[in-house]
Amino acid sequence: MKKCSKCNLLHNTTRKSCPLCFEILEDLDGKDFQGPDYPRPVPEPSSYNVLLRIIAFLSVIAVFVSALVNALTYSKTKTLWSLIVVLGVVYFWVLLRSTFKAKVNVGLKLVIQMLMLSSLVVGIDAVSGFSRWSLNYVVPFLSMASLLAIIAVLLGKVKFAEYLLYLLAAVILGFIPFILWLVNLIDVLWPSLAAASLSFATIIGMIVFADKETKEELKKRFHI
Amino acid sequence: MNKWYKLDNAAKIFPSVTTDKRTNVFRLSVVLAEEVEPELLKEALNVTVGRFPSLKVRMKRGLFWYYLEENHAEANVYPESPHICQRLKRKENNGYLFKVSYHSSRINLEVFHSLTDGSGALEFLKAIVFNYLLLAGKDVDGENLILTSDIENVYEEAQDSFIKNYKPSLKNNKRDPKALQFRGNYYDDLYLSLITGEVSVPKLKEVAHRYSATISEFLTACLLYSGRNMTHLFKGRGKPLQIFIPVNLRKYFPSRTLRNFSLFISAGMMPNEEWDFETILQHVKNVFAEELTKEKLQERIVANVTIEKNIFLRLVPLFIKELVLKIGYSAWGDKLNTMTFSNIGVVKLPKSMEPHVRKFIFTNGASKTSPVNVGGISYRDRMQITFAGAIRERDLHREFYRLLSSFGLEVLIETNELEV
Repeated sequence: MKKCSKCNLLHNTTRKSCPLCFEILEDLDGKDFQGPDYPRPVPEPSSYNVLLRIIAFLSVIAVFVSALVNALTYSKTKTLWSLIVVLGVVYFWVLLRSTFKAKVNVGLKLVIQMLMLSSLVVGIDAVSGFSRWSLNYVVPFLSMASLLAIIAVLLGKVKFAEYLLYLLAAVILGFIPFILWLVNLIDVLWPSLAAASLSFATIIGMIVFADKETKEELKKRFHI
Repeated sequence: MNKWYKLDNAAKIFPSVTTDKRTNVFRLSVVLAEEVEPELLKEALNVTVGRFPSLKVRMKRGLFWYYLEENHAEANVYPESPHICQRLKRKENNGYLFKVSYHSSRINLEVFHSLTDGSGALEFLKAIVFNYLLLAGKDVDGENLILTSDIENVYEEAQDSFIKNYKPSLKNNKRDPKALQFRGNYYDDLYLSLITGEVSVPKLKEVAHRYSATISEFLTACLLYSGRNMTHLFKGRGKPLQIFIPVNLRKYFPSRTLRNFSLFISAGMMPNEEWDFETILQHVKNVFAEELTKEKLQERIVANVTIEKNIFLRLVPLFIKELVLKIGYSAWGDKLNTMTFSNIGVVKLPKSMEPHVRKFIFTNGASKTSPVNVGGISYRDRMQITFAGAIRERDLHREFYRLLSSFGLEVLIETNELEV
């Protein structure tokens, strides 16, 4: 036991000085510190990923250079091609952070992939004259692919319920191309109709095959 | 079928506003008479958590709210980290919202506040220690003071008692004013300092009774008195020095719940007020007498539950709710108190356990947004008053303990590694 005569407080410590007023402590009985002590902190090594920083640096430079060149030559080309570079870089980073690195549900990754790839192709389409090939063909097929992929992943999974939310999201997204056709934004019907049909079939399948656990999961996820 | 629970009223806000810098984690520690054996502790923990279904959960995101779902994974024990009350990441620790760690003869239970409050966590820790001692071959008996595995767990233990005490006729729209905030030199890596002062309960009671005050009232007044002149520790002018005091509502509303059932009352004063100690203590006593009535507390409960019952709020998707809560909490919620003084009260253990348990320590977790908090807990005839600090400055702590000492109390200080 030690004592700080300035504070008039007793200290159970191995310290030489008072932790409160920093006076030198006076040892009362020569008895050692009565445990337990506290583990000593070690400085955390700072994480510094050189490769990631190089890629980040190059991404920003690539966007900057192409935007600059695009702006200087715009009077000749009349296209905003640098937007394609921007979209490509953004997609690349989503791929890197969300799809490869993040520890999230595969269903969520697939939905994010579908959304990002769709915006990438629609962006490229829009910059290069907007002949609607992206909306007509690519987006419906992408949505079908992601829906089928989620179904394939969840078949045979014990934790079926974990994927339910993302399956629902993919189903709803599958109807979007068909809605776009209804409002005349799309001029080829069959791919979007196929996507909508697949979504519809999935809904029917969910209703028919849903067990008690699935219904319980829906209740949990959607409680308000 | 997996059991699941909605978050209780107090728990709803925490997952959305929790970050590394605002962890909403508190810690209860117990020091045993002997070294802790990790394997036994792990076994005891897993036996115990089976008795507490409302704590055997992991958190999940729904479309509108988070919820708690039964967790079938095994709970682990860890060597104590020097970093106290760090954020409990959802993926770590098999999804459990608590973390049990050990260091020589100490067992720590760190709890994320969405799971339960101090009283619920204390019941859990007592049961862990009981089962641990039992597994270690000690001759202990629950004496009906411990929730042992043979006492049935009842649905009321998982009840949201806020909802139960909701009465729409009671309304109270009193808003707390913004308060002074600490400023100082923050430790690196979100480190927290820990300074515990041990005092004798009978002596403390005697001193408090000299002013006909309770221990909580007396200590709150001591904190205000110690802090009132320390302008260099605070930022914000013309604001009061405000202390939040969590109240265990189980004392006012009968409830067996092991989930959150507590609220804050708040006592404060303007720092430039030239009040002597008696005046401050009288002021605190008035605040306590006024706020700690069943009616006043129920008004506060109703005010909180009313927000939750708003149908428009409920129908907003979770990610938007989270965004709004984050912004609102930083702008407003963090700023209402200068610090929190949480007194858990007296821990009653069975006679047969007492020789094996030396002391309890309650750490009311601090963080960057709430840099100094105080926790108190009493066991047998000793009370441990613990400051957790995210800043290096300890002037307030010094004045507080010196003040206690000037009342003739013998204070024994213990700290973790402060000079890092």
